[in-house]
Amino acid sequence: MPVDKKEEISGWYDLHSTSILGFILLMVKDYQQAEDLTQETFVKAYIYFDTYKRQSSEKTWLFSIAHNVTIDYLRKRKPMLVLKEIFLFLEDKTSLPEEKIELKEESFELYKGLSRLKDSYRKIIILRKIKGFSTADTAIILNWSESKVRSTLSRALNSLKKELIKEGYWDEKPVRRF
Amino acid sequence: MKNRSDDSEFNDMFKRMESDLNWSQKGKDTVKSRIFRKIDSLEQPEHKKTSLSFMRKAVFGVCTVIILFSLFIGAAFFSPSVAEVASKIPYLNQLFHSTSINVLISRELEEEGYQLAGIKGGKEMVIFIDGSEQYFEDVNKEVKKRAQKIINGKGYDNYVVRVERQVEKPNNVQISAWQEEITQAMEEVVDQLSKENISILTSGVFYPSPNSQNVIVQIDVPSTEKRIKEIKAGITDIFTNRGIEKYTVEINQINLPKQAKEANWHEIFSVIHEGLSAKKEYQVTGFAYSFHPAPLQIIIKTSIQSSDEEADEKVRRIEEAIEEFLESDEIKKKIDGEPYIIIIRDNEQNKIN
Repeated sequence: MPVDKKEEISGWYDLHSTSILGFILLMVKDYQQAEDLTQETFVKAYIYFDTYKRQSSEKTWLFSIAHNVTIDYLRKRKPMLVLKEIFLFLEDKTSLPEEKIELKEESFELYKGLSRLKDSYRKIIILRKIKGFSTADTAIILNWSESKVRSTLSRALNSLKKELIKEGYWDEKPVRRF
Repeated sequence: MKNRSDDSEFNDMFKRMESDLNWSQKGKDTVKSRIFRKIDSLEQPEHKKTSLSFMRKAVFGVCTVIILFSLFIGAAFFSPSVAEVASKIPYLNQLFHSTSINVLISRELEEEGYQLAGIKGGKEMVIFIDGSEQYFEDVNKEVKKRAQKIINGKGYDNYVVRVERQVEKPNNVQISAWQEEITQAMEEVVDQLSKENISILTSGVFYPSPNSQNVIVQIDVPSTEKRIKEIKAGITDIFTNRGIEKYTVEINQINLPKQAKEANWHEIFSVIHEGLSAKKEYQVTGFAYSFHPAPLQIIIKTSIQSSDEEADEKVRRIEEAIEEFLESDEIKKKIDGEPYIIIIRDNEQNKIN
């Protein structure tokens, strides 16, 4: 029944929207766009609600939708981005509108480090490490095999470490606090 | 070779990132209402799926709106009957479909490159400007003029604008070891509850007064969560083990569907509030609401004096504006038959309707 469907989506939104927005934001690095794609994720969840068989948690299902809308967007955006970079000098969108979203300073270096990784590395770290999804759930979200999840994660973490060391944020001495 | 503590620090950093990203409630609510507006529009029977690409749809849509609007406005000039229809769209319904005045002003000022720090809404609007004193001196008059122009353009006659320089906030607030201990205890609580698959909607600590030695731990969980005793016991263990003695645990069970329903109302309240306080004729000075106890009370505070000969007529006009809005098909659907009462207060806070 439509009313129940709406109520369920509304409850899911309250529980998971911040986490989903965070995932999309780290992927697209543009707050406004992240808002729009979060909206699209929940509208799609409503449209395809009846296809959700509850074999995975609703969070995993919502993240797989969020992942799909995000890669669709990134795929479409790429040719435009190249033109923009050449002609307009791409503006720095890693800064966040503070009145809408706040990232504590302690995590900002990680945010910047992640934003320099390639898309596949970035998303595997976000899902496995930041969002805490299991290897099996991550495989569902990304539509990858579990072994691909494992091997990509290990390469992605090495790459992130290198980025953080390069920026002087990670000095390989584990005692450092920030 | 892997370094265990290196990895654990790396993992801590990831975990912290998730809790370090805070999305403002306002941002969250705005997107939520956009989602449900979209869903509602999908449910309209006349909604037809087309295979037009997004860009074509957008261009087509914009052109259609412009043409229809031009035709409508054009016809209103020539046809008294169309003009009559235009004037009959209730005032608050017109506002419901337009951008709120605060957003309109902040968007325009930001687009023009002013260093805007924020806007305090309401009929005594304050616009805060970031930057040096010199910058403030240079732009404050222009900003005021721009804002006033936007307000006038909306037909609002009851707004006063003030422009102020944003005062820098002190950054180095000292956190005591005790407060630090509480912060860490809360992190442990959140970790523990998450491990037990308890979904936490919000969590926080509050101090009854600035120097209070008592702390209130507040956790919101969905009302479907039944393990309240276990949650309380878990928090008590963590706090006691850390040597924190004076604390009170409050677990709020949130009815999520009900909360979503209330969120629908908030969108409606902001229109009523803005619409009525924007026009001098309504003499509205404040707005309040109360969901509990039912029915919902919509409270309008005014500067009307009960001795005023026209008091009844003024009250009737306010009631009419609100009722027309709430009884319109679009809003009726949103509020889904929820009963409400309108209370209008005079300048001495007495009910006059």
